[in-house]
Amino acid sequence: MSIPSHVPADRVVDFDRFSGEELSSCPHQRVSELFRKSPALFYTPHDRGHWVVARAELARDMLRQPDKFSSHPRHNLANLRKPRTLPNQSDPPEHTQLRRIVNGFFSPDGIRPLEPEIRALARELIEGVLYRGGCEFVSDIAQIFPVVIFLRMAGAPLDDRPKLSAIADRFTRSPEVQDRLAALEDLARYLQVLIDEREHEPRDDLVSLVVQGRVDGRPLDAEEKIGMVTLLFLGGLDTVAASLSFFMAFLADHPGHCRELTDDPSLIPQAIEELARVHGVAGTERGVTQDMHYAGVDLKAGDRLVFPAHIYGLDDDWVEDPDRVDFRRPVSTHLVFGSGPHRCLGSHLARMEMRVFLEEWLMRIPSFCRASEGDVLTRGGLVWSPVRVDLRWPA
Amino acid sequence: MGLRIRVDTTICAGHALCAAREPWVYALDADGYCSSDGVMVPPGLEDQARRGARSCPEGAITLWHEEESSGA
Repeated sequence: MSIPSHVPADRVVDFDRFSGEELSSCPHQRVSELFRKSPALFYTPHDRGHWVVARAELARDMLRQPDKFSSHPRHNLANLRKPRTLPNQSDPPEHTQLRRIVNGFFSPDGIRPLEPEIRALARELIEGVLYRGGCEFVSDIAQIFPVVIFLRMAGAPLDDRPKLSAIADRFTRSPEVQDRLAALEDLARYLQVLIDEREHEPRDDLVSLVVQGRVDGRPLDAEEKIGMVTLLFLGGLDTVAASLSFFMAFLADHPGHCRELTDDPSLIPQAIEELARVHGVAGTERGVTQDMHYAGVDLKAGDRLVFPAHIYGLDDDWVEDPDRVDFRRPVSTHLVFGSGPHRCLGSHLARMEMRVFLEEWLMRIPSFCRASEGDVLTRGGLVWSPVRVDLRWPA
Repeated sequence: MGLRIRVDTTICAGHALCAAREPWVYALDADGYCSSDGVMVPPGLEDQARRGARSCPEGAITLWHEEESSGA
């Protein structure tokens, strides 16, 4: 692990986003504390060496300059993967055209018709644990809920859920890059079968929408189709699961906050923004497109920039009293869904899933606590998550 | 006198928090991006317009005081 010659020593911070000690419990608090003591743009030798953008405003500025900070793997060879996932691993104008195919489906109006089905699924999962008086939230509920919704949207068989969840887990959490790449190839093989089926017999589902998509007045090619469908699967598989798990652990440990929501369920949407602000689960990367001097450092073409969007909402330069969780904040400013053109396509769906789930849970289980002592253990990686959240309530 | 909404559509990223927070002031297009650029805030909804503008994480929304043109 060496530091490139253009990186000054005072810009080096020992931050390992996969296996660092800070990620093992209370990661948001511990990583935000580390970042507050670090330069706004720092370098770590871990994970093959990369820069880290540690401040929200700097991140926001950089994420709206795709000409300088590219999402294409040609500028970030460490992120080269097969298939190239799309549209996230592309820049405008390619990105704009591909995104246009799916923007309508995932818009607030586009996903509204899914709400009754999402609510029915939430009810089913909650009623499945209700009379037990307890559950392990991550495996009993969180890993099932958003995945099933996604499988239904994509017209894929629900029996495939455990297999797909395991692949996603390897892709986001394995510290070995070769293992992550192999997991991606396994996923692509599975999805190609779905794509081939929908080419042959289109249906009214998300995979068919992509398969019939057009850019530049022509149909998508094979690589574009597998790239898009792969990303759509990865996006929906463990981000919402992790977020919900963090939220439930928080509410279990903070009965006062929980009571605010049971007293007034109309607070739930803004509570979700505030809970998301302090429990982000995912970040993003970019590659530097040319040698430049930026934000006080020399960057070289091909340098990797990691944006831990998980914790920009805890940036004390950006948010007042960021460690205080207050559901009645006028605005819960954060970037957990990213910033700029690549803002998370699934953000509206994610919010709806979380809102509906909390509404249904709190209606039936208004008071609950954690069944274990001590801090919740967590995992780092591309998506941060609690390892387990044992809950119990009066049954 | 009125308040006019300006949305920098080159930086609107479709978070849609403006419309989620203040649906009486802010509207979205079919793709979920803000379509309120150039719209006058309905009288009496100025506070809501400000809250909606503040909820944009990109800082894409600004509000401008304008004299309304008087009719004939």
